[in-house]
Amino acid sequence: MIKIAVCDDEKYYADQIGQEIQKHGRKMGLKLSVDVYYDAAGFFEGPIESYQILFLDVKLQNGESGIELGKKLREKSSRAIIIYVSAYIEMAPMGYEVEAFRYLLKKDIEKTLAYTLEDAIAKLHKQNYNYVIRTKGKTQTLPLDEILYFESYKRYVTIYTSHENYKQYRKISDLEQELLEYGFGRIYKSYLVNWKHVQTIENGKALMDNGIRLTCSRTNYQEIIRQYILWVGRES
Amino acid sequence: MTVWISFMVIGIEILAFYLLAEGFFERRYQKKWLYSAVLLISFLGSSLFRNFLDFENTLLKTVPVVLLFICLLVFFYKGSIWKKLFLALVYYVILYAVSYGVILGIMLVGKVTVEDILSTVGLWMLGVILSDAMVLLVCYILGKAMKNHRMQIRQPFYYWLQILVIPVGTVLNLRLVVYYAIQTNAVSGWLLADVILLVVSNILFLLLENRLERARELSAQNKELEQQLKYEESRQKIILDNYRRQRSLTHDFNSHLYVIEGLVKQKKYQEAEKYLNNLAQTTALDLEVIHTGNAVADTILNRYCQKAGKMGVLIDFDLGYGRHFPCPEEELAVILSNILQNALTAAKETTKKQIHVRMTQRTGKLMFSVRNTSKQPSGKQEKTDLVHGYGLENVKRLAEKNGGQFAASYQDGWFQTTIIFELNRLEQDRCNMEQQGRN
Repeated sequence: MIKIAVCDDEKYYADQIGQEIQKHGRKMGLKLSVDVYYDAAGFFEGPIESYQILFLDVKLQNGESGIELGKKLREKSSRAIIIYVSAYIEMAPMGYEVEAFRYLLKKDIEKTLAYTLEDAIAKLHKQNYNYVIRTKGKTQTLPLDEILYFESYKRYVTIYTSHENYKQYRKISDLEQELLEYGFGRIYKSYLVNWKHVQTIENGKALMDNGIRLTCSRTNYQEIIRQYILWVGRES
Repeated sequence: MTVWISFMVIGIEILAFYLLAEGFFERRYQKKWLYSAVLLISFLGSSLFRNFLDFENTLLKTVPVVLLFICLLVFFYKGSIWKKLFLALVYYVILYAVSYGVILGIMLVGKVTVEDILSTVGLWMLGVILSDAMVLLVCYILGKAMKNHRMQIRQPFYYWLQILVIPVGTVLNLRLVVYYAIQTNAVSGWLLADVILLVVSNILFLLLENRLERARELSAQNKELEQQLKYEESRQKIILDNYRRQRSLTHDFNSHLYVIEGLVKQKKYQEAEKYLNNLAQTTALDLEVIHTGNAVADTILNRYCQKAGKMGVLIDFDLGYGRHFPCPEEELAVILSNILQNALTAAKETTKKQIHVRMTQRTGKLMFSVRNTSKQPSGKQEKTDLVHGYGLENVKRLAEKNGGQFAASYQDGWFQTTIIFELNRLEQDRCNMEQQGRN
């Protein structure tokens, strides 16, 4: 069951979005639970941590900002997918802090909601994909978001995360095939990086979030930069 | 005579070096006279070191010349110093390899020895002029190939053929001439003059080819400027039209309110609802719903939002940034318009008809990305063909001209164009101040 919340101070739009979501859920054959709120206070009284997809109005009553709402929500739920709905699109520089998935115009909501919901659910599935580490006698899972990069050395792969490293017996080429669609890219014969944790690529090296600089393949350097740029444009 | 030949040889070698450098590196400054001065300084420096330094070892005489070249490259060309050192190495490898190759050639063709060549002034001059002409040709071709590779330009095969046909023909011709002259012992001043004339004509041919290429580049730039002018005129018209329409809308809005108020007071709710629906339909397509704070971006994004609506294409925007762009307004207009027009044209031909527009800023970089549904490109297209085949050459060129990075791809029914700009410190500070103001 996918839990979805809608928060809009205009009751007409809040109800319309809720109904459209239910309608498309039935069409897609999905079980969706939709809660509709008409103000921020009511929204925060609800079980906000449990919502996986949220449709929020950018401007709410009493001068409250949907972006601020999103920021407060992020403190409790970093993985929820936030979709903003507004009568107009205004530059929202703080929007990137909230990592909003999309911004929809109210006038087009009937047409855009269907594909936006599909894309949000697809992203949810990708987010929930965990990497399985199988070592002798032990199996553990790791959320992909926590993985910075893989480093391969003689058939062993070291998995670097922000807090701990792991090791397993595996070919990096197999990893590349498995994780390519989840935002990982091969920058060198022995490095497979999570593009999300790459800060920049320059002077032949990729700077990771933990400050480590990883060497990039010189032969494929332009292609690596291209893949990174495309990932940034698509997912960031 | 030998002194003049020596200066001529130095001049050709300097020219060859900078033809190579121009291919490997981008100029740091735009002023042309500066690079003419660089050539002159190199020429004077080389002449000084080679002719007046009291070293017997030629290699030792070369060291200060190399250092001079490296210093000038560091000051006047972009790129890492290691690459510049590598370039100097490549150049001297070419110089010595070609010189030895030419001497070997003369020895084989004329059946003479090295001592004969060194002791005969005519043969020696022939060897020197020929080898320097060959060095110039090799450096020219290599420099051009590197420049094309750097700018991701692919020249067809016949382009290289037409550049090479005259120089290669000249070399073959000279081989016959030299062979005949040596066989008949007729190495004379006339022969040397003939050889010099042939070499000079080849140099002139290459210079002419350069001018033609420059003329082609200027023609492309002119076309782009014309397009920018058209966009500028169109933008001005749009701004004026929008202003007039906004005034009219404001006036009409009051009238509509009175009508609705009247219908509601008369309890004619169905008529009021119908009136409101009609009103929503007619104004929805014309309203400006996007506001980034940048007039150019607003004008273009709103225009394409309206166009998309009229074509039944669904378009959504994620605008985390929009006010300050690291490029002139007219170039921004070309970039945004070209990408969005491409996206619209492609999306309307598909069943899904979707466009996603993102403009965000993070860690000192501005990202503009458009993803749209698109039909499969016809045939097998390489990455560069996505640029050329989809009219994005201008976009790529302008993005890179302003220090940006460009990428385009087609995958699973989606075409994506992404540009990332580095924001300079001033632009970053302005963004931060605005963010704090909004907070």
